[in-house]
Amino acid sequence: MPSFLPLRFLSAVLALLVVVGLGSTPHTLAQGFGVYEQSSCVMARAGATVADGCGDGSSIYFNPAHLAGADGVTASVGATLIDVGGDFTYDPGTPRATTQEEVDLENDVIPVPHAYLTYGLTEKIGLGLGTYVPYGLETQWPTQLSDGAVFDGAFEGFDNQLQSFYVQPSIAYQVTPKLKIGGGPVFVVSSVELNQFQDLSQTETPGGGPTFGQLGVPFHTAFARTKLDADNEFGIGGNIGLSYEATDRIKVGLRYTTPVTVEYEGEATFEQVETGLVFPSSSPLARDLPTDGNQDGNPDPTPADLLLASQFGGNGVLEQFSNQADEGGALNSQSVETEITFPMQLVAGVSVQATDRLLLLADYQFTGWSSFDELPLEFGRLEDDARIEDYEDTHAVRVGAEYDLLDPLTARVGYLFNTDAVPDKTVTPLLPESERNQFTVGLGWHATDTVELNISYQRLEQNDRRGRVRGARPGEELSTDLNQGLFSFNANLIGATFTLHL
Amino acid sequence: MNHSSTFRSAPAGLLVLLASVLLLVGCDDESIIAPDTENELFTNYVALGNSITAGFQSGGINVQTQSESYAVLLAEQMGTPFGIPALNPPGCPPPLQSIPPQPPDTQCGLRSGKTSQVKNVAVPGAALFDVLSNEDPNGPDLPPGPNQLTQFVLGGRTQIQAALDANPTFATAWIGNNDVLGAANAGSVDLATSPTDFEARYRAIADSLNAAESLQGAVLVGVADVTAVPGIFPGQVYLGLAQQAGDQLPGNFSVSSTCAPNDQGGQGSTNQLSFLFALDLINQARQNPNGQFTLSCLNDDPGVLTPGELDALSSRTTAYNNIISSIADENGWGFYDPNGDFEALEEAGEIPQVPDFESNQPFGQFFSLDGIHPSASTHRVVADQLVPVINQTYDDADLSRLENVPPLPARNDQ
Repeated sequence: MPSFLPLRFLSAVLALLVVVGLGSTPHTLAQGFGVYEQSSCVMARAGATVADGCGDGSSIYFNPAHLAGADGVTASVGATLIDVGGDFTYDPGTPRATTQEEVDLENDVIPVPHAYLTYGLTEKIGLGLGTYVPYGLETQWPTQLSDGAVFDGAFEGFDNQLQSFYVQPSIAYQVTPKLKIGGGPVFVVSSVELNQFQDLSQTETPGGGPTFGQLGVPFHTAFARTKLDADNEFGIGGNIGLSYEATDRIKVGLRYTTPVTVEYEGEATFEQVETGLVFPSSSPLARDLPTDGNQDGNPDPTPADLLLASQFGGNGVLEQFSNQADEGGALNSQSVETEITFPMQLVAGVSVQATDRLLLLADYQFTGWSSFDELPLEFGRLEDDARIEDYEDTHAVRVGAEYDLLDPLTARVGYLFNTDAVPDKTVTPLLPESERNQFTVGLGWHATDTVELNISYQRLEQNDRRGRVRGARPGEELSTDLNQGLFSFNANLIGATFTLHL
Repeated sequence: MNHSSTFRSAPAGLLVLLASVLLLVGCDDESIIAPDTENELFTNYVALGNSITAGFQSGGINVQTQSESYAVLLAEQMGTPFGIPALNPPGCPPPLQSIPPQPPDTQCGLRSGKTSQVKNVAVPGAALFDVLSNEDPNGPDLPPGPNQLTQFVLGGRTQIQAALDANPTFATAWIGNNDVLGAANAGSVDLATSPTDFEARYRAIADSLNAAESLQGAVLVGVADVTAVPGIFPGQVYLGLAQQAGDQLPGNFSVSSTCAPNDQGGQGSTNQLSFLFALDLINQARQNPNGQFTLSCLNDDPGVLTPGELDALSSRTTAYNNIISSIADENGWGFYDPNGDFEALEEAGEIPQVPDFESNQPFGQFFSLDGIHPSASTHRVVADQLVPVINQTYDDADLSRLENVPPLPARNDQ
């Protein structure tokens, strides 16, 4: 029954709005760690849309002012599939370069969903409810290289995920025939997971003595695998927009999305990793072990893993040292708290209806990434820590064009360039970002007056960038001197949005 | 606004944008340029060895002496990064500042902890056995085994594990000296590693190195003839030193009259003792003030080397070096025997037969204050001598000779 289709679809959109908004866990992609592909139509224009929306409901995010004057009900659901490629190439001369010059990123294809519902309440008032994912991050690196060594970058993070679902009810009002304003609160549901190895060389010896590194333990000796996990934490912000029709062919628009700070309370878990080190009997770390059947007060060759086992609880300790597990050890499961501020966005744009069939658009975007200066970590047992990021504000320029090939068929192209948020000294496996050039194409098909389908493709080319796969040691400043190789990154994105106009 | 004029100007604007895009895409970023490595053969150079390679001088080691090692100098010629297990000042133990030695202020400075990858994996005191194992050896002709520096340099790995962890493209190994030096210090030829065991252990080290897929080349250095070093000298000199030092030596340390010259009733003209043995005895005296410690020179006394024993140790060294040379040949590696240069220096009078304790260089400019370990000058000589060996062995190598190297007299074998 054809008449049921819109109702079913509407139900599906509403369900998706609820499910996504309440924290299902789709994967997201790092871009900055911003993600702008929240509508296939907008994506095909390279995101240039703040002056003139796509009419698919995505204006809830891109400029809520465009909801004013909307007719009836519009419901959209869609997703962008992001296939990421990237690698880290060790500098010639670094030890790993001789056996494995290149380490590949192992991300799976990442789906990023979006769903919007709008309703024209009156000729001047529009309402909307949408969910989208403007910030997200996922980077998955191998933990082990071909020669069996631990990938240095795994000490910075080998499986990192950050998800933020924005749920935004909106209202828009047509102030004058040329001026519209709109906005709404943003409710953010966010989860974060960081996995990394711990370096024994930078850990204090038992009793608060010198570090193991000061006693010769090699740099980047993995002895624990750490997982920091916090799910479904909340934050609140706002998103407002303004649209002005300068002439019957030229429109300008402005959007401001507030920063949103999310405080996370999660769990840190630790799993012991075998080092294989054995401290000789002459070592100050050696113990008189009962295992040789000769507990005579003289130190015996002592496995480092045995010495460390009492730091772990029963769930994390190596099986062969399970009798050494101590629930009071510092590396038992414990609480961890952190805080992330998703930055503000300020976007200004212009659209020109160049001909009856050709629309040209251009946006400038400022993103306040400097708010992300560090990732603080407050543990229940371990000493508090902070990961310095020192991100910088970014600028993006987006240009797009769409041309009506036929009445129901529109072709779109676009290009965008954005500067990088990550400074030279903190380009790490967590976010190996650089300046990006992106090219987009797409088609919009109005199959009927009711049904619309948009598809799009985007190619992301990122300039190669030198970066590091290790942190600063005590007494060492974070600087580009720590950079050991080159990060490469690119992505192919395919988007589809299905829309009903009721 | 005229729509048609807008239409005409828009493509022009797009062209400008597209041109800008192409410029942005094509930009070169100088910051992405990686540092150059001069020769892939030397991308990862590791040095195995003992106290000499580690940079031990004057009975001690610290970051200063470590930086003077021939291995560091060679890496500089190679233009390759070379991490050393830097030991904080004053050292571990601190090098002697004068003779007779003063009590050290501290026993051991720790590692600086700032080296990402240690390439000089040599451990003072290491014999062949210790390159492959950190276990406590248990046998009559086995070395004393790992010491405190084994921990500080290797951190729980064996020397060969640490070398392989660095994925070496090139290696030098100057190892085996302690397989005979221990015997020399103890005054017992029986404690020297037998040639059979020496060959088996050396081959095991070479095989382990060869197991590294990254390895492209190596140079082996022959064992120095310990009987030719100035730190083994006649007992009568110790008698004179004790009289000269007076109360600078601990009161419970003495030199026996058996160390008097042979024509004065002693055996101090012909029997020799290692200066390291004497220093160890002095340290023991300081640490045990209630004990009595006497350096004695009779044939069977600890540390004493008779002329016959000296000859036996020298012959053993020759046997070792024949083995090392063969292993180098079999693997297509370079080989350098330092003894020819040492002999030439000795014949030229650059290495004193008898130390001059009135001088601030009692063992000459080529040996440090312990008389056994080479000085910084010798490390320059050794590094410089290794350069032509490497260049001749490997076509791809074109290393430059070192500057400011003390001139060497012509060798007898040249």
